[in-house]
Amino acid sequence: MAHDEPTDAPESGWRRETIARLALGGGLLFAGGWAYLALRLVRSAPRQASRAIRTGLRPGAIGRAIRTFPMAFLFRGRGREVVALDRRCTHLGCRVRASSGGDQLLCPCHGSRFDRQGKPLRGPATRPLRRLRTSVDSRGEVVIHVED
Amino acid sequence: MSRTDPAPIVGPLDRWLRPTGVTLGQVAFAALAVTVISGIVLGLVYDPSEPLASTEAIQGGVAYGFLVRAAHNLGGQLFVVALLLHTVDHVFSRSYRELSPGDWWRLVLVAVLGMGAMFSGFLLRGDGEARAAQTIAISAVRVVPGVGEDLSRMFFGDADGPLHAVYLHHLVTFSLVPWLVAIAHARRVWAGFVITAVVAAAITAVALVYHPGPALPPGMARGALWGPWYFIGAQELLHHVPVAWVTVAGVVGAVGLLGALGHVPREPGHRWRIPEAVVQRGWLLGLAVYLVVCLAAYVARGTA
Repeated sequence: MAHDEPTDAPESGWRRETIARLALGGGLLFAGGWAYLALRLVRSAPRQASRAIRTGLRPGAIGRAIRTFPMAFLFRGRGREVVALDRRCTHLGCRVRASSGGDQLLCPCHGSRFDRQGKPLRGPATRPLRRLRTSVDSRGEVVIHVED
Repeated sequence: MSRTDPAPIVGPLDRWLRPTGVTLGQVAFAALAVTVISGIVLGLVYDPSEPLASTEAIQGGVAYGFLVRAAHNLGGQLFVVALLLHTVDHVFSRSYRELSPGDWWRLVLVAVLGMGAMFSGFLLRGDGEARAAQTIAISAVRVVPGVGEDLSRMFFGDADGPLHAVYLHHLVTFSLVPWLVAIAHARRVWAGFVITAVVAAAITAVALVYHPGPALPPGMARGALWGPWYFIGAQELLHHVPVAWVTVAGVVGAVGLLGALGHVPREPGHRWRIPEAVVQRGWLLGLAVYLVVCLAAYVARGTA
C-alpha cells in the first residue's frame, strides 16, 4: 500500500487544489451576490429628501444680523430680500459658522471662508454655499426648505 | 514556521517585552475583551436615535457611567495602538515572511476593522465633532466610483439622522467580526485570564483619573474641528488635496501595500526582493510621515 501513495499523491493534490479553487470562486460569487443584494436594499430604502425648518420668525423680524439654525443661516440681504443659506460647506459638508462680526462664514473643519452671500473667499471650498428656498406658513412665519 | 507551530512569531518590540511574558498581540486581544465587555454595559443605556442625549446621560446621568465610558474608550485606544505596534513590529522585522498570506491578511483585517471600531465609536458620541467627522467620512466614501453613495449610507446612514447604521457596524462589523478574525489569526479564543485581568485593571486605574469630557452639541462646538487623533493628519491633508486622493492613499497605500507584503515569495534571491524592500520601507516611512503630519498639524493649528 505504501508503494501506491506516491503515484496517487499528484492526482489527489490536483483534485484538492481544483476543489479548493472552485470553492473559493463559488464563495466569492456568493459574497458578490450578497453584496449586490445589500447595495440594492440600501439604494431602495426611503430617505428624507427635504426638510422644513420652522424658524418661528415673521418676515419683518428678520434683519441684517445672521440668525443661525441647525441647517441654515437666515438674514436680510442688501436688497432687503430674505436670504437663507445652507450651512453645509461645499467642500466636505461640515457645518459652517458665522464669524463673530457676522461678515464672514467659516468652516471649522478645513478653514474655508465665505462672504455673507455664500461666495467662497478662501479654499479648499470652491463652490458657493447653496441658497435655500423660503416660504411663509399659515401662521405668517418663515419656513426654510432644506433639500439634499 | 508552519501554521500549526504553537510558538508566536515575534518581532523586536515583542522581544523587548519578553521579560513581562506577554506579546503585543496578546495585549491587543486583552484590550479588545475589555472594550467589548464595557461596551455591552454601555449598550444598556445608549440609544442611537438620541446619540448626544445618550452620551450625556452615560457621562453624567447614570451611576459610574463616566468610568465605564472611559474604560471603553481607553480599551479601544489600547487595542488599536497595540495592534498597530504589533503590525509595525512584523513589518519592521519582516517576520510577515514567516506567516501564511492568510494569517497576514487576517492581521491586516483586524487592524482595519479595529480602526473602524474606533472611528464608529467616536461617531456614536453624536456631538459637534462627531457629526463633522461623520460628514467628512460620508464625503470620503462617496468618491468610490459607482457604489460610493450606497456604501456611505450603508456604513454611516444620513448625515444628521439617527446613528443606527453606525451603531450596528460598531457592534457587529467592527467588534464581533474582528474578534472572530483575531481568533483565526492567533488560534486562541482570547488572550488568557491573567493578561486580560491585568490589562482590565490597568485600564480601570487610568479610567479613574482620565475620562473624556462631556460632548458639545453640534451648534455649540467651538474652535477647529479635528475629529479623532489618528485622523488629524488626514484632516490636515484635506486642507490641501482632494478627498479622493486621501481615500485612495488610505485604502491602496496603507491597506493594500501592507496586505501585499503577505504575498512576498519566501525563496532567497527571488526577484520580488527589491519591490519588497520598497513596499516595506515605503509603508514604514509613510506611517512615520503621517504621524509627523498629525503632530505638526496639532501643534501648528492648535484648537482655535
